Amino acid sequence: MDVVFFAIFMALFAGMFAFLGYLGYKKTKTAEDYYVAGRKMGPIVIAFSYGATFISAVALIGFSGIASVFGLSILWLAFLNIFVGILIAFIFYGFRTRKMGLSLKAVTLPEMLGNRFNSTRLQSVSGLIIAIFMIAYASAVFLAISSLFQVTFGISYELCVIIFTVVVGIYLVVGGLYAVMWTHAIQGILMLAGMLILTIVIYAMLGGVGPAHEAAADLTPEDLGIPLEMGTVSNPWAFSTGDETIDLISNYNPNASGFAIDFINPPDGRVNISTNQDIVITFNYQVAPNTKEVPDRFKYICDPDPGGWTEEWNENYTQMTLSHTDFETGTSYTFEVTAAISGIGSPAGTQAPNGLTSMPPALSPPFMMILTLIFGVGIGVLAQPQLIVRYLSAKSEKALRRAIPYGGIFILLMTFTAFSIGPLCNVLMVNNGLAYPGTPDKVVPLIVSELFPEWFVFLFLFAVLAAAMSTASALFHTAGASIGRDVFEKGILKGISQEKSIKITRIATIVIVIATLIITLNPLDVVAIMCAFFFGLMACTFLAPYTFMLYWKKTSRAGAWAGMLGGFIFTMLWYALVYFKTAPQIIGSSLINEYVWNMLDPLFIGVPLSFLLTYIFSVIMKQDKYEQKSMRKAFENI
Amino acid sequence: MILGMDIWVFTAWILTILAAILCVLYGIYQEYLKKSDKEKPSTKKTKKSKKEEKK
Repeated sequence: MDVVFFAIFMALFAGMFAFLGYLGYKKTKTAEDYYVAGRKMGPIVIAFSYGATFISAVALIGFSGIASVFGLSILWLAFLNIFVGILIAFIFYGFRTRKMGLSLKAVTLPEMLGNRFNSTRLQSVSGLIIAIFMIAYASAVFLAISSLFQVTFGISYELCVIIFTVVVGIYLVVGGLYAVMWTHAIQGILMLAGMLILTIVIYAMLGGVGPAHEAAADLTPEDLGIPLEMGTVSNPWAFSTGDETIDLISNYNPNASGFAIDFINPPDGRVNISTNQDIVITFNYQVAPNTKEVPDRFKYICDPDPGGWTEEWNENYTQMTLSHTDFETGTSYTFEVTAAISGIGSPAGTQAPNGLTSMPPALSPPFMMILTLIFGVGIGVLAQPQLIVRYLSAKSEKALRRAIPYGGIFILLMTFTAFSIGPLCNVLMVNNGLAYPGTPDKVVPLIVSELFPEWFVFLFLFAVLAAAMSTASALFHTAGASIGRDVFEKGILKGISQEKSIKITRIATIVIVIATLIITLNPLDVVAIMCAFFFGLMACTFLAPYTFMLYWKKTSRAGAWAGMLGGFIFTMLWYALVYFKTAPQIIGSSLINEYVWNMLDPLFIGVPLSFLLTYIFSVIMKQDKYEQKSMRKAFENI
Repeated sequence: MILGMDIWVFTAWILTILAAILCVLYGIYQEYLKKSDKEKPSTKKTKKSKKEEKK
């Protein structure tokens, strides 16, 4: 890809957003303007902003990649994204949130909690939780998009991170939520165009919806790639060289099953092997037969290493001959095949055991993975602070109601398309002899770069960049407001003026942007972990107090504290001590090694626990007179 | 298999589309079919309308 084109497009992008940032700056007169765009936003901007915030680059690239591995069963998430993420969210949460936010004069979720339960400490603590995890989330978003641009354009990762973070930071800090939401509308249109064209072309390439799905269903594990099963013959094997050329072994062919080595030459344990003896390995499956070039399809080590290795495969990719510099005479060698993959090399061969268009067997590991994703993101969407701000920015309830159809269509065109094309990319890889690129998130970019014209590659990349920027700007804005408004203005520096309030939030946002920049330039594993479980964590922490706050007048401050901290602490402990993906990285191994339990997302326990704690503590520790006053104020328009 | 998908995946596929259609129908209902409180015809006759009727 041409760096000059990148520079031109990026300059246009940055210039347009900077202009919108300037317009936002001109319109921002009060704190409400900065935090909730003056509560003046119309339905289309709300819908696009909500959708663009919700759908990040992770959803477009990451989830379509996940779909390429786990198959179309992930469409359950697309359903929940629309049904829960739009319909339930707007109808049961949005309208009330807006009304209560107006009554309580709140501009953030923590401020709503704080004002509703008459507790600035509750506001500050919840603001702090949100800000810390949002920095990690934003960092992961920039990491993903910068890596993509680095690979495509050959620009340094560090430069990409700096450019993207600074551009978002500038228009956000200057223009507040006006700039964020206006840019979201433009970014949303770009995302829509990119995903629509991509999906239509991919389905057209495969002959339409039915034939495309059937082609995906017909892919066998051998087409997709299954890893080598060791053990049919010993691996590693050992042999010793003699002084001269000795007779060679006859074919060794045990009753092999699965994808395995069924013949090795020189055979295991043999001595007096010729010093110029090639190493020949025969597999009982074709190894990567559909690929032009599969990096790492076959890996081996030899100790000691004679060097000078050359690989030669037979026509069917079932036998590999390895030539090398002569072995030393009278020396023992250990040779080990460490990896061999059949087909295109996609883990879909094992992760979608019933095929790419069928659900995996109930309670199997792939099933549990999908369940975790579906509920973590599908239900978690209800308690995302950056999305809740969109309700507060609506100019009227009618605007929110009218945003529902636009939002539904937007999410349909983003998630339904992204999740559907993932499995189809496997078909295109097999048909076009492309190898699996190594990780799921590179699958769609690979197809785009190999099979689409250059102009579309640009459009697609900038659509993904738009998705990343829109999510990151919303996260920065919410995190900045959490620190500036919720922690400093209402907690530490009480009673300051509106102008100072905006100034403090702008400074807090700059600090958050810089912190994100530093973390993204020095990525830590823990950041990726925090990002992956952001949705689930927010749901376990805030969904119960937020829901009770909106619907149950008797909810007390103690109940809100108990629900919030109970859900948060439980979730953190579950990730640290039990969850199979995170616990091994944090404490070495999961405390509960029983299958299903260690794969269970904390959301399944954390959310009910948080609801229970909120209710029980509200019953036991009832509202005082100040809380009752706040409650009456909160419900005065409901 | 329906459209190349098993019944569970097809259910998710069709429900996704139906959910989006539901969003659109909700919008149409709110925009064109549901009468707001202001637009609802009053069931009680106002003094003014009574006078007009007498005339």
